[in-house]
Amino acid sequence: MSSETDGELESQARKAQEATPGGISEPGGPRHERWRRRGREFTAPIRERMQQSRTWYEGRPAWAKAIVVLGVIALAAVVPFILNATLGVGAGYWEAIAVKVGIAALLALGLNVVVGFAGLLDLGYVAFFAIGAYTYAIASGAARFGINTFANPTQHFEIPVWHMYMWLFFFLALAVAVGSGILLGAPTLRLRGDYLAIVTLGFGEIVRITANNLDSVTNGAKGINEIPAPAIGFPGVHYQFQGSFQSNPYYWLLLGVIVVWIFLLRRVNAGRVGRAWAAIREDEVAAAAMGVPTVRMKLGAFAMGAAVASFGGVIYAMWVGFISPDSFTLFGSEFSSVIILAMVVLGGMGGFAGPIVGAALVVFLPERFRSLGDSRYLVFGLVLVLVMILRPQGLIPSKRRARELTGGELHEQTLYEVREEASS
Amino acid sequence: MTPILETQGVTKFFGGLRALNNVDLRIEEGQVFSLIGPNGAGKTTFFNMVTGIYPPTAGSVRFRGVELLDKVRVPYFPLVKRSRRPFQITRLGIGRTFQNIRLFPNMTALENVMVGVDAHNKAGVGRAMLKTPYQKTEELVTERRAAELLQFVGIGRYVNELSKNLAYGDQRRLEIARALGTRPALLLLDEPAAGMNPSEKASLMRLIQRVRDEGITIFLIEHDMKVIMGISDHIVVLDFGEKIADGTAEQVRANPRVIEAYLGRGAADESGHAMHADRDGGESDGDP
Repeated sequence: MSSETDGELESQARKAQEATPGGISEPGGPRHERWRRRGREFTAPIRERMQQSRTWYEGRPAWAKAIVVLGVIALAAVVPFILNATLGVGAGYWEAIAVKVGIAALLALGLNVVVGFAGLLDLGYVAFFAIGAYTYAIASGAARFGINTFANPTQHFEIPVWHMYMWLFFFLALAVAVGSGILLGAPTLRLRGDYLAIVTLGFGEIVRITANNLDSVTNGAKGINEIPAPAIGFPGVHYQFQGSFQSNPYYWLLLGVIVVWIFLLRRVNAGRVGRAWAAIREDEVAAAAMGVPTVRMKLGAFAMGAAVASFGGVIYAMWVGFISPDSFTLFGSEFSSVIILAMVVLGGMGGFAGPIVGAALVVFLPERFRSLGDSRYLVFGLVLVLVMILRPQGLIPSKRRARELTGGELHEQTLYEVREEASS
Repeated sequence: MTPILETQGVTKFFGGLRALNNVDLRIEEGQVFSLIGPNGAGKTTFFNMVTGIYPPTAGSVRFRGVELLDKVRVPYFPLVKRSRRPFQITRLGIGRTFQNIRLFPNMTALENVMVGVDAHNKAGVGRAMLKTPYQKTEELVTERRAAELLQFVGIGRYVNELSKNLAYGDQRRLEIARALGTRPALLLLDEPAAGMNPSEKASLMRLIQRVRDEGITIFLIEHDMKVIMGISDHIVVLDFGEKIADGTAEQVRANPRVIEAYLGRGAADESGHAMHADRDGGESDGDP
């Protein structure tokens, strides 16, 4: 009996040796580990390059950094011209895609505050986007009066004065979204992890279903049509924004809004509130014992995220001119909760470049491969899985998040140390 | 003079289990006060109740004459009252460390301490967005204070090291620095010497004494008798949730109930021998 099992064991050992040349001690590990390593080796040059540019950037003086940042913004600002120059007549389509990227980037930045900074899983984030869009649509009077201001632009020799004041609806939408964020957060942010995710998921659905059924205010499932666009009407400067057939002004508007939000969020994240968010993410009990008002700080993250999303919603409503509950689903619509979350996770949590890159890829790639038909979503899913295996921290993670999600192993850690040495 | 912490009749049930029964304590300002007892005696439960992690079933906890268990008003909601949250108790002046280290592992040592120092900071989202002079000064002061505290506990050279990369003993020190950042009047240390070697323990004792010399009252849970007997001004012994002894090191050591609790009934009869065993081999104390 025993000799038989011994023989079996021996043959198994022999097989193992054959499988891994160089003997059992060879660091082959399980198959998935080997694949992971191969993948990492394949992408090593890219990562090295990224790391180099990051190190280079961090070593520059403040004024040089400012120039780099301004350069990036300028580059983003001329994208419509590049599209025009290269695509000619067909540029309009891609200009619209650029606006979608902008809206997605704004939403991803907002969700990143909740998920990336404070570490709360929010599966109903699209609700705040919807609240922003509906607030603008209802306040601008489209729902009730069906005002159509841009269908025939030649009709309007003068811009209606109140179209100028529509910019104030940004702040109205912000107030409503922040208010509803606090309303949702105050009772639920005592929950943690999975429970919070379920509650936020429910909130997203509640907002959508309310919009669907509150006919008298939101026009129900028919949606709100012909939402008027704002105008700029200073002496000497007159401009009436048009709908989605003139996308570029919205693109620049979005760019401005994103730049301002990044500027503000960076400041918040660098200070006391940002530290509190990081502490809550790492260990909530310890954070509370160190005097961090955990519920209030989590509410703050929720409210900030809601504020950013409401801006996205307002611009979306202005641009598309039509919103219905179907635009704001958990999954399936262009900007659904799950897709926004995928942008943040894919791009990398906790930073600012990550969510923007994630948003750009998630919006751009399906458009680029539209020829594949619906199977492109299959590819999209596959890419997501691969990224999560090879780079769980996302494409461009913040330094701290990278440490958390790789457990301090492999290259991120070593590069971190190298950078520390270089700086000291 | 009002004691810095005074508890009366503190009782805690977990379901049908009585974790604490009628515990009365009185900690005077400037003391090193120790709470000892075998595993499961209810020491950490007691800490958790003082710091507001959960409320006692019955009893009162007074910090500098203020009843901690009273309900307080909720800001912005004038009609609502509720019991104090842990962060509010911390801000009143009770700092603590944890038995199993609970640092923020992916933050640097400096950031860890800054979170503690933030406890009394005011600048929120608005002032951070505008970067007002107040906020800038506050950030600067916070950073400087955190660096000072790291220096004070003797790990000043690790400011920018991630806390998870620090050696075990240094992590314990970092926890103390973080708790000191909250400007406590009373510092609760939950087994600070656990897992340390004798020389580390000795330097930890010196650190605790230095903290005490800064005017901070120390409330200590510890298993290690050498640490306890060396620095405590006052000792209380818990066993199965009951206070069985209360007094100076000498008094407690001579108390037959203490010896019985730690070493068993037989040992109590020959208390003279037990005392020697106690003094020589502190290691056996913790786990009867």
